[in-house]
Amino acid sequence: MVASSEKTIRVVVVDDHTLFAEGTVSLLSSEPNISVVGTAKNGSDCLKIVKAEHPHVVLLDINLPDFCGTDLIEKIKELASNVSIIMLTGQNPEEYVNASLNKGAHGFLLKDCSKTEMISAILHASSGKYYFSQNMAPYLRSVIVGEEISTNIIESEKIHGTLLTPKEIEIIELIAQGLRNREIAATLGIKNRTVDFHVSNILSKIGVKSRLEAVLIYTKDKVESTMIS
Amino acid sequence: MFRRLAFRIANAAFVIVCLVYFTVLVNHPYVGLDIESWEGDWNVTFSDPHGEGYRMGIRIGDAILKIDNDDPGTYPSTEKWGDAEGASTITVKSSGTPIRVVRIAKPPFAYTLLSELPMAALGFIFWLVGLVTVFKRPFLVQARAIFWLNWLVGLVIILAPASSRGLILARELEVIGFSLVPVLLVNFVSVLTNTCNRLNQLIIRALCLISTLVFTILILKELGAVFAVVEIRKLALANGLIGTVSVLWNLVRLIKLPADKPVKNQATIVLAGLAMGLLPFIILTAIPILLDVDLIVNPKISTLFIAIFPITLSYVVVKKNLPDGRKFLECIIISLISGILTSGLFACYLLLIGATEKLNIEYFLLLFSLTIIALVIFNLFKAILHYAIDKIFGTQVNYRIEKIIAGLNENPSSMNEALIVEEFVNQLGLEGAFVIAEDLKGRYTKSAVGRYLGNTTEQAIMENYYQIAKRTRHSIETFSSDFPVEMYIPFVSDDFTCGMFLGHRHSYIRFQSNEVLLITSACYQIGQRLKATGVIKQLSREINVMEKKSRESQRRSQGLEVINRLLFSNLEEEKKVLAREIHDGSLQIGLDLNRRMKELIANISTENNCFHTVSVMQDMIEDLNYELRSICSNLRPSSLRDLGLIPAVEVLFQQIMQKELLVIFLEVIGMSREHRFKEDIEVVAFRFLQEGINNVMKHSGSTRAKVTITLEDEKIEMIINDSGKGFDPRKIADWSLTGNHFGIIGMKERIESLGGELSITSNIGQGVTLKAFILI
Repeated sequence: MVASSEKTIRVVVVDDHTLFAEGTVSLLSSEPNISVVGTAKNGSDCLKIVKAEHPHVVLLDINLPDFCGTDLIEKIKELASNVSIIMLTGQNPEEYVNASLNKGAHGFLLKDCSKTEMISAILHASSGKYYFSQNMAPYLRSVIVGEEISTNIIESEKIHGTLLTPKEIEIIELIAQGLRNREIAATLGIKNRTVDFHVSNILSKIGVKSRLEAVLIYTKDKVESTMIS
Repeated sequence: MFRRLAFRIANAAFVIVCLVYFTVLVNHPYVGLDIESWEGDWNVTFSDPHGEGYRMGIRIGDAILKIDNDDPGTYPSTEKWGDAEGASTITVKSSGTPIRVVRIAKPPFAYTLLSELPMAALGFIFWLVGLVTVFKRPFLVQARAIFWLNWLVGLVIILAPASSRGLILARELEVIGFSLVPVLLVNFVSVLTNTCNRLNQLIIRALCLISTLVFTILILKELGAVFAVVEIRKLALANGLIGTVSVLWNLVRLIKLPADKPVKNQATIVLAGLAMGLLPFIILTAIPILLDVDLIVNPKISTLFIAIFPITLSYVVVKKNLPDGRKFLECIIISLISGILTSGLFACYLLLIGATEKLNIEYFLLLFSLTIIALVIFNLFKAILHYAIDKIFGTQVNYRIEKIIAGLNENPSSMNEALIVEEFVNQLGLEGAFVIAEDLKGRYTKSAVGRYLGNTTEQAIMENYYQIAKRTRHSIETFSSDFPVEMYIPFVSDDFTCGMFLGHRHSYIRFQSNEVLLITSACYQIGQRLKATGVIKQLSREINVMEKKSRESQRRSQGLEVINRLLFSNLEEEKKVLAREIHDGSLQIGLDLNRRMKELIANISTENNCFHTVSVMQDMIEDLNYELRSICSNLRPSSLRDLGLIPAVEVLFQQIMQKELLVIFLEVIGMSREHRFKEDIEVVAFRFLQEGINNVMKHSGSTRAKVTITLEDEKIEMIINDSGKGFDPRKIADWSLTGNHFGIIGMKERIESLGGELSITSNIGQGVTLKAFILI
C-alpha cells in the first residue's frame, strides 16, 4: 500500500456496457491514487489503449462483443506482460475462474462488488498479488475442490457434519428428503438465492460436487454418529 | 389283348357270314309257306306275300300234297321247321281248283338283290355303327357294349333272309342270335349308367338262361328230338319281351333321375331315337299285321328306319355334349298327335265329300302315313327356306338382337349416360328412349334420346310413371299405343335403380314376346353399364378430391417442415438475443445499481432511519441480479460461447448435480477442453446433451447417467445412457403425434438438419440410450 501510494495507478476499464463502465470510472475517480487512463468498449480498443497508455491494471469484463474475456488476457499479456488483469464478471464466474487464472489474471471481481472491494482489488493487482471478490468464495471453493485439493477434503470427511451451520443442517435434511431448491425456499420461507447459496456452501463443505453425494455422505455420517451416541 | 382278338374274330366272322350267306342266298328262292299237319293233311297256315309260294298262287288253307314229289311229312325242312323252304316243286290243292304242281323257280339275281338289299344294308349299318363307336371311344365300356349289341343285331338281320330260306344253320343261328339280342340290349342299358344295378344283373342272367335253353333245344332238335318250332319261337320272343320291358323300364328310371345327372339326358335321347326308329315300323308294318290288314309298303322299307336307333346309341356314347333330349321327345309326340288328328280330319272330310265309301283302319293308316310324310317334308322345306331367307335377308330376330348385344359390348368405353343410351337406341332402331338412373347416394340422372329429347311433357309422364312403378312394382311393362313409350324395363342392382323407357321402333312393328327377353337382357346390360359409369364417376370425383387434399396436405407439411426448422433456429436465435439483451441491459443496470447501493450503505450511518430500507433495497437488487443472471444462463450459457462445448457442458452438469439428485459421469474422448467448433454445432451438441439429461431427470427415475463425448472422424458422437426404467421402443413413433417428449423429437430434427443422426434405444427396465452424432 505504501509503495503504491507513491504513484498513481493507471487503470484501463474495459466494458462494452457504457453505463456500467461510466459507473466504474466515476467510482474510481474519487480515489486519488487511481487514475482511469482509458475506457474501451471492446477487445481491439482495449489492446490499442493498452499499447498507447501502458496501464498498470486492466479491469476486464469477461463478456465482450469481439473477444472472449479469457482470450483477451493472452493478447494483453503479449503486448505488456507486466500488466495486471482483474476480471470483471456479471454472471456466474465459476466456469471462468480456472481459465482466467491459468492465463495470468490477477483477480476476479463480481460486477456488483462494492467500491472498497474494487479499489483493494486494483491495489492488490497492481502490486502483483491476487484478489478475489468476497462474494466469490463459494465459487472459488468449488473450483479448488474440483481441481486439486479434493483429497484434503475427503480426509476431513468426518468433521464436516460439525462444520455445517444449523441453517445448512436444516437445508440438507430437506435435501435428503428429496426436496428441490425452490421447494426448500418455500418451506423455509427464504429466497431462492439464499437456498442456492447455502446448497453450494454445503456441497463445498462436505467436499463433493453433486447433491446426491452430499446427501449420501451426510446420511451415512448421521447414522454413524447416532450409533456412536 | 383278348378283347382285341375277340373284336377281330367277331368282325371277320361277320364279314364271312355275310359273304357266305349272301352268295348262297342268291341261288335260293324264298318259298315263304308255313304248313301244318292237320290229321294227315298238310295245310298252309301262312303264306308270305313276298314269297314265291304266294306269287305262285298258294294261299292260306291250301293243302300241300307233295313237296319235291314226296310226302311233306318226310321233307326235312317241313319235318324240322314246318315250312317248305328249299323245295323245287310243290303239289298243291287249292279249294275249287284242281291239283297242280307248282314249280319254285329261281328268281332273277337283280330281284333277289333288290329285295334283300334293304335288310342287308340295315345289318351293315348296325355293324358299322358299332365298329365306328368302338373305334372312336375304344376305352369306354358303353362303346364296347354298343359294338357287341350292334354286331349281334346286324348279324341277326343279315341272317334273316337266309334263315327264312331255311339255309344251312342260318335258322338256328338266327334263333340263338335273336334270343341273345335282349341280353346285350339290357347289358348296354345297364352299363350306360356306369353303376351296378342288381335287378339288371338278375334280368341279364335270366335272359342268358333262356338263351341257353333255346340253344340246348336247338341242339336236341338237331340230334333228332322233336320240338315244335312255335315253342322255340315263343321262347325267343319271351326273351325279347323281357328284354324290351326291362330296357324301357331302365330308360324310364334314368329319365326320372334329377336333372344334374348326364345319364338322364342320354336316356331321353335314346328313348327318342328308339321311338324314331320303331315308329315307322310300328305304323307301317306292326299295326297292319296286328289288325290283319294289307300292308301299305314293303315292311323292309319300314325296317330301314330302325337304323336310326343304333345311330342314336352311338351318338349318345360318342358325343360328350348332347342336345336336350326332351326337345326330341316333345317333337315326336307333337308330330304324332298332330299327325293323327290331321289325318283323322282328312279322313272325315274325304268321307263327307264321298271320295271314299267307308272309313276303315287301313284307309286311316294310309292317310296317317301320308300326313306324317307330308309333315316331315313340309318341315324340311320350312327349315331349309327359313335358313335360306335368314341368310339372305337377316330377318331372324334373335340373331339380330344377339348381334346388337355383342355390338353394345364392343364399345364399353363411353362414360356418358346419354351416349350409351343413344348407341343402344340406334342399334335397336328405336325412335327414342328415356332412362332414369338413381342410387342411394343421391345421384339421379335422366337421359333422353331421340324423340324424347327436349320433350318435357312426355318426360314428365314417364318420370311420373317411374316414380310410381319404383315403389309399387318392378316388372317389365308393355304399354298400349296411347302411352308415349312402348316398353318399360326396370333394372335394380343393390342400391342402384334404373328405369328404361323404350320408344317404338321406327317401323312401328311392335316388339314380339320372344324379343322382349333379349331386349330385357340388353337393357340389363345397359343398366349395368350405367351403374358402373355412375360408380366410376363417383370414384373419380372422390379421387380428385382426395388428390387435391393430399397435394394440399403435402404442401402444408413441406411448409411445416421449413417452419419447423426455422422455428428451432429462430428459437435459438431468440434465446441468444434475449439473453444478450438481459445481460447487456437490465443486468448491467442492476449491477451498477447494486454497486451504488453498497456505496450508499457504506456511507450511511446505521442510526439513520433510511439505513434499513436502503439495505433491504440493496438485498432486493441483489436478488434481482441473481434472477437475471440465472435467466441469462438458462437462455444461453455464456460459457458455451466463451469457453466452448466441454467447459459449458461441465458447468451445466455441475449445476444439475447441485440441484438434482443425479450423478453424471462425463467422459470425453479425443478432444480437449479448449476444442472449439462452429457455433451452430456447439449449440446443437450442447442442447442435445441438455435435453438428454433433462429427459433422464424427468423420466428415467435413475440417479446416475453416463455421458460420453467422442470426437472421431470429423464427427462428434454423444451417448447419454441411464439405468432407469426405460420404455417400449415401439412408442417412439407416437411421440411426435402426441406431443410428449417433444424436446427429443425437436432435437432429432435439429441434429438431422446438421447432417447428423439421433437414435434412441430402449427397452422396459433396461434404461435408455440416446446416441447422436454431428458432422463437423
